[in-house]
Order: sequence, then structure tokens, then C-alpha cells
Amino acid sequence: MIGLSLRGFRDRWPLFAGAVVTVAAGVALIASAVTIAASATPPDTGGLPPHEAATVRDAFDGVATVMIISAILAGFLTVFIVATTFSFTVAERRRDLALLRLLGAGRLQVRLVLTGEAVLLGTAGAALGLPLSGPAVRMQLWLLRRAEFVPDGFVLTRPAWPGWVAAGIGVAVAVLGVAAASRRAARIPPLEAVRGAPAAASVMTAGRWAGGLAMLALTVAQVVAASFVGVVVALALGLGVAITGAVAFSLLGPALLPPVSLLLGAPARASTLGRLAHSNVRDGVQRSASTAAPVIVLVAMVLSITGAVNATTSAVTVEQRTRTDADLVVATTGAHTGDLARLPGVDAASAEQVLPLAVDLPATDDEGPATERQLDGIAVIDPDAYGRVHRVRPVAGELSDLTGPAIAVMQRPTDGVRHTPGERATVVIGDTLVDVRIAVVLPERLSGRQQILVPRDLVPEAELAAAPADVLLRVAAGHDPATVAQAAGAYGEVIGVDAWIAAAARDQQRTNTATLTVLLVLAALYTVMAVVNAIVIAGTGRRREHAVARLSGLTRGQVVATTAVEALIVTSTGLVLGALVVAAALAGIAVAARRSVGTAIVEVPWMLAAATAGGTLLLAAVVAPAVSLLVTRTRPVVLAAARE
Amino acid sequence: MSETTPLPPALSGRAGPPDAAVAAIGVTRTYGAGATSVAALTDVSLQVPPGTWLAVMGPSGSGKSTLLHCLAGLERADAGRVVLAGEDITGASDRALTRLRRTAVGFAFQNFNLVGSLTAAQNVALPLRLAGARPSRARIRAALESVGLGDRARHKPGQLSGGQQQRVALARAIATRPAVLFADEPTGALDSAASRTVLGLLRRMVDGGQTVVMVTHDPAAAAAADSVVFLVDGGIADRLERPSAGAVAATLAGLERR
Repeated sequence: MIGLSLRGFRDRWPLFAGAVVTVAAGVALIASAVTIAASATPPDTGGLPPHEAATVRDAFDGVATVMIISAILAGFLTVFIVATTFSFTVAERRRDLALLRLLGAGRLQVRLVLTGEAVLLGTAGAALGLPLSGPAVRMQLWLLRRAEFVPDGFVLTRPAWPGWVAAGIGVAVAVLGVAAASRRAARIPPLEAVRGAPAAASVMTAGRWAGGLAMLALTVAQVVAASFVGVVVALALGLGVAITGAVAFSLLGPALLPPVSLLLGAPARASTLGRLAHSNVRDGVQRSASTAAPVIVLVAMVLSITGAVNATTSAVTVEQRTRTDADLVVATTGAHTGDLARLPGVDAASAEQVLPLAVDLPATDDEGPATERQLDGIAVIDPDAYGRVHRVRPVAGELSDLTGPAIAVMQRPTDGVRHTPGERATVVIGDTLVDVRIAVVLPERLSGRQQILVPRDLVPEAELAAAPADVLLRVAAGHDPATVAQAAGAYGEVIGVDAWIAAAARDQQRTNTATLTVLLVLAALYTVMAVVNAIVIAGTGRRREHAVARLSGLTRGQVVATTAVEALIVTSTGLVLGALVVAAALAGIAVAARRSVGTAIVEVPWMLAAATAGGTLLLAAVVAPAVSLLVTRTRPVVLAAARE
Repeated sequence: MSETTPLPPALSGRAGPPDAAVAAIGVTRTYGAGATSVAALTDVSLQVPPGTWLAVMGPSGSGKSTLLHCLAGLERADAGRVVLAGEDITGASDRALTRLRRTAVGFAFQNFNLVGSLTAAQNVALPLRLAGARPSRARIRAALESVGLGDRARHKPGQLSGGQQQRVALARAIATRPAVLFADEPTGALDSAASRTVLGLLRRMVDGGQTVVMVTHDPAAAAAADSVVFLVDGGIADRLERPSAGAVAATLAGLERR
């Protein structure tokens, strides 16, 4: 039987070449992401001061996190694309398989032939993918460096295991991907081999309906769940909805495609060729659905994740605006806080300083009570002034309780971090340890900049005076902010509070864009490759159909034009279904933002959306006619008469 | 797995209908349901004795191909029974039918005969290999030589002419020795010289004991058979034994005038 697989493989190589390449690219992508993630173990930071050590650790953790998300994305794409491609190759060979059945192949033998092919395909793809992982790592590192993600001291270790893991995934996915397709193939009746035209197979099987609807339900469930958790889960939501939604619509594709293409194909039906193209789309529903599937994934993945990350930044900005009740921000040092507070027209002046402090908070680990050292997100404030320029509603306690050795701590229920007033903590100021009480518990905020508030009384006056400070000023009613700003200018740079928040958002946006580039560039390239692959497979299987069309009087140019219109209809259907997934993800983030900051936030990356849609359509409009030009080279009479 | 339905005593065992390689007993086959249903076969009964060659003729849409498919177990009869190689296949499971396709049934169709990726020799050996046998090289070569293609063993179907492809299909039947060889328009796509070669080969096989059921449009092909049944509107309208091409053509013309 394996001999038969081998020959099927050798003979149908144009059909399989695409499948091998998808496995190879997937394996390379997974291997490179895992290799970099595995290399991102921080170096020995023993000799460094605690804050620098923490910075180094964070940088390495950041690389590891981004690469782990990349690996998950690459894994999903590999599973999705390889499975789709392979079931497509099976669907394209119904008649061959029926012939095998006619000649006495049992159902099990058909499945063995296809599984044998899958093993060969997976192994060939993995063997090709392993050497490709080198260039993939270099490209990924280049993207990371460009995004200034790679910390000093990063050394790429090249353990062998990520390659083996990726190769194993590649082969396993090829085999599992063919499992469902081969079950369907085994049911092809032998009679189909002798009939002139293959009986229209019912593409929407019960299993496909069930799987598609289950994935759809899972997508809705995530959107609903997001409304209870808040915007902290935006990225996970964007990723999750993109994955389940794309799988749902790909599975339901054969059912959704005809009605959607009816709408989108309306302009095309004005001409005879357009009507033919549209009929072909509906007739070859399996082929059309297989071509639309990678388009759905591409749109869903790129736009959902980008939309999620951008919405997070917007939510932080909205949160800052609604929680801040100040007009101006002065960048100065702690020494001038008093002077600024005494300026005429200043109603309140709150100095917020970041000092090299550490706080040991009570925590629970596997072995019971423990402490957790926190180095980031600690702000030194004056509780009274802070309360006047921030709208804070603590979960427990009041800002006025921050007297003596006491601090305020933000709770993070989504991470399972909760605090109660009265718990003890330790503030580390230089070499001094101060035992303090948690007096106030603050509600969770999206911005991690002020997770712990330390009253200024706990820090020596001299240190405060020397350290940089952002002083938030509120201008008293009846005073001109411009006059106050001019006066404050004597102590440092003054900007409006909105501009100050916007500047922070711009910084965040730059980091986001860099992160998204690292995450999405290779994944998107891989998906684009899958789109091309699907168009090529769909086109090469139609040699005979094209020949018959030409015998019916179509010129070669008209056949090519028809396939171009078909490809455009199918691609735009994929774009619309993908956009529905993105809409679900953005709706989920909107309700999550409503919970977190009170406003529904929708960030549609319009430029990226336009580029994705335009690029995909252009690709379809170029690749599909090119393929059909190639397959219509031979004189039609020869082909129409020839057996397939 | 119920391989076969027990036969009534009169029909059981290899005797089936006595001495028939394949037999139809009151076979009816209807496509579709309700107002749009089309009766392709209505209460057709016939038997083909072993080692004989039956041609099935009739106008287009008369049910010829459906009869062939029912006899070969590719389609199920809605009513009536089909006994193939001594087994009642009317309600047979897919597994039983698969086993029959390997051992009891051979096919030679106008088109879609051979696996395009396999060589002529591999195509000849395929049913035996699928059945788990390891046919000897000599046996395969002998089969190909008997159809005059000993030198084409390594060619793929795409490199062979239509007549040669049809001869490879016959060599496959020679190597497998099925109880019944079903042929659907085996000469339909061939020129007259190639047709004569194929018909001559079929005759030689029948003389060697092979049972053949052949659907054809061509009176000359039908005249090569031992007997001819004529189907009209899903029923047997006439039957000729050892006919001449002229008699076949005349009967056919008569039937089409009715």
C-alpha cells in the first residue's frame, strides 16, 4: 500500500508541492519561535543592582512572551493551513479514489493510502522545514532587533529540541489533518469512477456542521466572558476570537459561501462571463470554501490582534483622562513641589515620583504564605494632594488613612492578586527596611504605572527633593491656565494634561506597533502563502473543465478572465467572513472596555484593513489568471477527450 | 457483518439460478422520488451462464448502464435480487462488495479505466495487490503479452493510445480472472481497427472460459457476443442468440421505431 502512496505522491506532485511547502514553512516558523523563546533565559544578574537586574529580567521575559505567543500562532496556523490544504487535495482526487474502490480497494485501504501520503508529505515538509528554520530565526531576530526588543547579553542558543518538536508537530498535523478527509474519502462510492460527472458530494457533513457551530458558540462565549472580565484580557480575546472564529467560518464556509457570494457577486452577474464565474463559485463550493479559508484566517488574525492591542492603549488613555482631574503637568524635581503649590491660581499640586524603591507584598505560593518583591509601578505621593487631582474610589480604606507607616496597593483580581487592609508589607528604601500596613486597596487599573502608592513621609526629604517628579496641577476656578502655566514654567517643562496623557499613549503605541510587527509579519506571510497555495491548487485541478469551456466557444482570454472574476468573488467572500470574525473580536473588546473604563472602545485599524483587503484581492487577481493561463496552454480538444 | 442474505433453497449455493455467473431476478431501480422519479429498470430478469458473452443494447436512457451497475454491485436494486458468482449481493455490506470487486468482478469501461499514476503492469496487478496477493512478474507479463502489450509494461496510461489502454484493462481481467468481466462501451472511444482487436481479445477470453457482460451501442460489437438482450424503457424488449451485425441493427431499428 505504501508503494501506492509513494506513486500517488510522485505523480500528483503539483498538488502536493503546496502542501509540502505549507508544512515546511509551519515547521520553520514554530522551530524559530521556540528556539528564540528558549534562548531568552536571562543571564546571571547577581552583580547588578536590583532595579537594573529587574530591567534585564523583564527584557528577557518580554522576548520570551512575544515568542511564545508567536509559537502558539504559528502552531495554530500550521494546524489550520496543513489540515485545510490536505483535505482539499483529497477532495480534488475523488475520481482517482473512486477508481481505487472500483478495482477492489476497501475503505480501510483508501484511508491507508491517504495516511501514507500524509506521512510522506509531513516528513518531506519537516525535512525541508528544519534547514529553513535557520533563516526564519535570523528574520525573526531581525524583526525583534528592529523593534528594540533584544536586550544586551542576548545569546542565541541553538538547542536541537525545538526543531524536533516542530518537525513532530508538522508530521502529526499532516496525519491528523488527513484523518477527517480520509474518512470522507473512504465513503466515496466506486460508482463515481464510471459516471461521467462526479455526483455532487454533500460538502456540509453533520460533523462539519457540529464543529463549525461549536466553534461559533465558543467565539460568542469568549465575547460574553470578556464583558465580565474587562479590557486586561483584550489581547487574549483578540487571539482567541480570531482562532475560533476563523475555524468556525472555515468549517461553515460551504454553507455560508453561496449566500454571501450571491451578494458580492451581484455586480459580476451583469455580464455573461461574470454569471459564468459566479455559477462556478457556487458549483465548486468545496473548492471555493478551501480558497476562502486562508483569507478568513489572514483577516481575522491580523485585524483582531491589532484591533485588540490598539484598543488597550485607547482604554488606558480613556482611563487616565477620566481618573485625572488636573490641568497641567510640570516635569521638575521634588524640590519645587512646594513652590508650585503656592503659585497663584493653583488649586492643587500633586508630585508623583518614581524612586528606586522595592516593596515586599504578602503573597501565597505553593508552599503557603510568602512575599513577592515588587520593583515597578511604585509611585511616591502626597496622599492629600493625590486625592485632589485623581478621582480615586478605593475598594477598601480611604486615602486619608495613609498616615504613618502605611501604603496603598492595587488589587489585580484577573491575576488572582487580592489584598485586604491591615496586611503587612515591607518598603525597601536603599538599605532601610520599613515595616508598613496596607491601609488602602485600590481598584484594578489598566495602566501598571501606579500599582503601589507610598506616602512621601516614608522617604527621606533629601531623596525626594533630588528625584525627578511629575507635578500635576489643578487650576482654581476663575484663573487662566495659560497664566499659571507660564508661572510654572520657571520650575520645569509644562504641558497640558491631555497632551501629557497623549504622549504616554504615543509611546505605548510605538511599543505596540513594534510588538505587532514581530508577532504578525511572519505569520501573515505564511498565511499569504497559504492563500496563493489554495488558489494554485484550485486552478490546476480544472484543466478539463477549462477545456470544455473553450470547446463551448470561450476564448482562452475569456476562460482566464472568468477564473480571475471567480477568484475575486471567492476572496471577497473570505474577506467579508474574516471581517465578521474581526467584528466579533472588536465587539468583545468594546464590551470589555465598557466594563473597565466605562466607555465602549472600538479601534478599527482601517489602514491595515484596507491594505490587507487590497493586497489579498490583488494577489487573487494576479495568481488565479496566471494559473489558468498555464493550464490552458494545451489545445482544448486534446484535454477534453483525455482522461483525467 | 452479514455477507450475504441466505437464498431460498431453489436458488442457494453456486447453483444460484442454476449455472449462472451472474443473474438478475426481477430487478427494479428507480431514481429520485415522488413526481420526479424515473424508473431506470423495471422488473428485469436475466442470467448469464459462465463462459458466455452477453451484450446489452438499447437506445439511450433505456437503462443499459444501470443494469450493468446493478449486476456489478455498484448500484443497489430497489427491488428484486442480483446473484453474482453464487452470492446474493442485493443487501451485501460494503466489505462484502469490496471483496467481490477484487475477486469476482472485472471492469473495462470506455473511460476512467486505469490509475493514471501507475504503469500498465502495475495497473494489471492492482486488484490482486489490493486483495493482498503478490502476483508474480511472469503472470503480469503473460497477461500483457496475451493482449499484445508485452513491450508496454512500463508505460503509463497517458503514454498509451485508447485501444492500448483498453487492452491493458483486458489484461487486468486476464490476470485477475474475475467471475464476470463488465464492459461498458469498451469500443466506444476506439477506431475500427482497435475495436476489432479488443473484440477479438474478448472473444478469446470468452472461449477460454471468461464470462463477459457488455453494454454497447455498436451492432458490430454486439454481433461478436454470444447473445444480445435489447432494453427499452427499463425492460427487456427482445433477445437474439448468436446474431449477425445486420440482425442486431435491424432489431435495434425496429425497437427505436416503436
